[in-house]
Amino acid sequence: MIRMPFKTLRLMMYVFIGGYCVFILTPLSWMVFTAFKKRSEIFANPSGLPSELYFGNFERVFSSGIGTYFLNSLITSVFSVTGIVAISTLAAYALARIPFKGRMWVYMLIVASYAVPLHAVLVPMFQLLDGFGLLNTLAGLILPYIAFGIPFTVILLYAFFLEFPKDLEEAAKLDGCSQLRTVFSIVLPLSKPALLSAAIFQVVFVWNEFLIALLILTSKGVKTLPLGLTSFQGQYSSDWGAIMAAVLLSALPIVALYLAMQKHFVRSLTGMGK
Amino acid sequence: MGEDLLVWGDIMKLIRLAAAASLFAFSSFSSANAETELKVWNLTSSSDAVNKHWEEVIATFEENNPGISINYETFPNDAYKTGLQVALASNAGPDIFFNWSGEDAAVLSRNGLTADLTEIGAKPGMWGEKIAPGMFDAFSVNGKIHGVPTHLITKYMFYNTSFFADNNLSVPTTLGELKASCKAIRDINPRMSPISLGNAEKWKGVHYISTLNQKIVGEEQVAKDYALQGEASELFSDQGYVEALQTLVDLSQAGCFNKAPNATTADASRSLFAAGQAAMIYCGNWCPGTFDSEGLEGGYDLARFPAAENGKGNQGYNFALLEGYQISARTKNMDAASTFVNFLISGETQAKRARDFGRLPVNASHMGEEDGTPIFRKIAKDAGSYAGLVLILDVGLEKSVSEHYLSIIQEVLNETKTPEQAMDEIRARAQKAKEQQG
Amino acid sequence: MTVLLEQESAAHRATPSSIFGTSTIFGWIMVLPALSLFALFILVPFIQTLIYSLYKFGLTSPTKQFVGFSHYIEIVQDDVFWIAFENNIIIAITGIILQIGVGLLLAAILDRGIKRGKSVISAIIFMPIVISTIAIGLLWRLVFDPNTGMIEELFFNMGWSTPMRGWLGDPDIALYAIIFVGFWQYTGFMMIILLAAMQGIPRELYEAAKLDGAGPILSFFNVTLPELRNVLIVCVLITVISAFKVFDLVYVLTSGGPGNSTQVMGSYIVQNAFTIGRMGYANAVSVVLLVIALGLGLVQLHTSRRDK
Repeated sequence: MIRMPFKTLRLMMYVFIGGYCVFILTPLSWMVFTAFKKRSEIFANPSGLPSELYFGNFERVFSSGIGTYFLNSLITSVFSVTGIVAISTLAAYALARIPFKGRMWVYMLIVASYAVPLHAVLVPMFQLLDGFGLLNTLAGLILPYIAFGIPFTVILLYAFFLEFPKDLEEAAKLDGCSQLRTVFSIVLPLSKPALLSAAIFQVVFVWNEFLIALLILTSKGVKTLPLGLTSFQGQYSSDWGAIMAAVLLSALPIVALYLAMQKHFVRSLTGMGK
Repeated sequence: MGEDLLVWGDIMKLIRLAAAASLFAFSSFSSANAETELKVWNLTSSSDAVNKHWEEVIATFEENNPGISINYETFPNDAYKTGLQVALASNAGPDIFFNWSGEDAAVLSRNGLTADLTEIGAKPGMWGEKIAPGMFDAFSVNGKIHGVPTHLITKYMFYNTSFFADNNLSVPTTLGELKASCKAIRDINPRMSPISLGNAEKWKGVHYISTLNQKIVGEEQVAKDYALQGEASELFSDQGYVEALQTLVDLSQAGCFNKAPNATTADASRSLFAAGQAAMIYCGNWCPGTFDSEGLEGGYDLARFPAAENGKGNQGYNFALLEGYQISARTKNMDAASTFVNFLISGETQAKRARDFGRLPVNASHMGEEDGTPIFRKIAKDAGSYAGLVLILDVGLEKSVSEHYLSIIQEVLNETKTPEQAMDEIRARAQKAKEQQG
Repeated sequence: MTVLLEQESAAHRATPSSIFGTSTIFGWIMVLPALSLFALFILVPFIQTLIYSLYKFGLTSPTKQFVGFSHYIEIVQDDVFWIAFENNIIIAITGIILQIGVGLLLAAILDRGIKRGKSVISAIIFMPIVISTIAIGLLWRLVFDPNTGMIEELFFNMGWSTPMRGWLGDPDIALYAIIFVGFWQYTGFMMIILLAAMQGIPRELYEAAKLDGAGPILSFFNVTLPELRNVLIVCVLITVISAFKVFDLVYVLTSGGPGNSTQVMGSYIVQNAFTIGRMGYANAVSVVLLVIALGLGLVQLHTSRRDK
């Protein structure tokens, strides 16, 4: 193994990660510019700064009723993600830590479910929700979101729980904890980074999900943000400036959430006393 | 044939029963109302003028027809066909919905999902009196009318008037002249694209080929082949189809198009023309709005697509498509639904449509001489002189064949397949499709 | 608790077994909510898909015609299916190399390499994941535009030439352009998973390695990688299954074109089901996709349970 001075190595790391950030940010900045450009400028001058700061795109977004869409997305996300993480945690813990009969079959079913393409089950799923009378309700959206979020989350948490130190559970048992209490008071608090990262992925998925929402929600009052975006996509041409403005507005809360969550990543680390 | 899986049908019935019995909480949305509610589905528009138009039309209709309320819902273009099919297949669809004439509408009609409007339309005061009978052909299946057209979309060759005037160029009227003017334009300014073409989404290319097929192969043969009629071995065997694809390659090789048309979106190609970086564009009657808003303000004019010198088709045909509305076969409010569709066809609504956003009306009884922009009036006047309407490939042709045609036009334009190879493949596809139908 | 941590070795943690003994009923109760929900919305509908793959029908057809396994026979002979299949494999392999490889590197740097600006940097890398696909489509089509795009401009200024048919218009390049966008968007995804896993590695293991004289690079290979084994396997599983399911990104960037050169199984399913109206055939392709993914799941189970 090559040995190099740690300072040189650290410098190389900063250069690499700095370069990577530029690679990420450059297209994003073009997106921000586009949101401040008039339509005539978007294609004529795609990479340059806007010749003047134009707020018309944002005005159109605000007058399109984005408030309602935002609220619907918020409700949907909170219920869906809570449901996904709660249900998946139980399942993943059981699969990883409790050697019960049929465990591997359950896990295979979950992997299989993750592989099912949404389009392949769209029609029967729609009929099911129609049968339940859930079309045009947020409940009709939240239930399939939870169902589709579970497989990925279980797979992810399963891997994390496999790594979980068994000794901690043993210690809990010696202290007289029941198995369920061990899960809640030892395993879950210490798995915060894993749970949070699983949650943030589901927030992203639910926040941006388009196809199920499109089919289930057709009335204006119940539509979510991704559907709100489509009001700027016409038959012959699209209002790209407004789309970019709306995407920026809808992405900001999620990025803020991620930033806020990071503190918890760190705290859970120090909390483990490692 | 006709065997269905009873188990699943029964399960769905059980679920419906259970839902009806226990889930009152969720059914508040569909609670019974004294008022008749019509669900109308349409494409989303990003244009304020279009959205305002619909608000006003619906308000007027509801005022004139107390007791009927309209629940107007829209879908974006890409998702419309999927959303409509899923909803109709599950019995949760709208009462009235927008559709393109041709195969899209016909499939639904053949599957029994659209109402037969033949009798209702023939009643006094209904649409049968208001539009030319021939217009219903586009929405007819087995001689029965399954839809009512509301407007015509059409395409022209738009050109940049000041560029043509400044350089003493004349507008090409034949394909030969078009090729020559491409070279002339490149000589004047190599950075100027003679024609702006954005075929990334595959439908611009198919519009070229639809027009060229009609002009070169001839409308009768095209109609037969698109309908997969005649001997399977004879389908698409006319040499003209190869020639039509070859014409596109020739134009490309003559430097007619902007760089990499297959990687350029339709949106970007309109912007290229609007920004004055392309001299011509083959574009629909909806395009002038984009040109105006992107800086070309009136600096353009239009002409018919150039004629094919030795083509077998009637060169007076023009690219056009009727769009309109269909009524679901499962609607519980047939009378109200047909009243609404009839209202869309009324002279007043049609004239308002033309004034509000330049749609070519199918009923021009209330159109004034001065209604609409100059370019709209020019198109409206010219539309009266069409010898016929070009059949659009992906509208008329069976979908598995037309999807392949869409892809293969990109490959021909990329010169990764020759026109001969392309037509061999299309022939094979068409024969297979015909076998499966038979 | 620290003492306990020091005593344990990585080896016996990899075996899932409970110190509370076997409890089948408890286990099933824990997985029941998950099972019942996705059984209702995914598995039962998919069984319908499976059965209907034996029938010929369109989405809105009133009747269905039994055709046996002929759709599966057709798949084997279908050129476009094989193009799609090959593209999925290429996306999966490049995804493993690029997204997991670079994601691992980024996570390692953020975890133990650098001290300043960590949260800002990881938020930046996270950002592209949040952008909805339709905006990604527009943005990157603008970037790749052959006439006015940013890359065109950059290459022109550098005096380099760009492909004549355009980045997204050349059948030999378009797929890699899509992969590039996928790399830009999803690498942060892998980075976050791996970073979360790295933060669960006991610091004592690094200290022990340091005492043995291992530098940061050596301890990455000797401590970090072995400790991440199960999570890395899951990352590979997720990347590969996602690669086989991919649809949105392809749809907004090329719609499967030029020709069918960037067709993937996901877009081919959608095209058959909703555009061409061959629902039965689309169902058969879905079943094939599922079988492939199931096979991968088996491989994962096999590898992650094996003890060192």
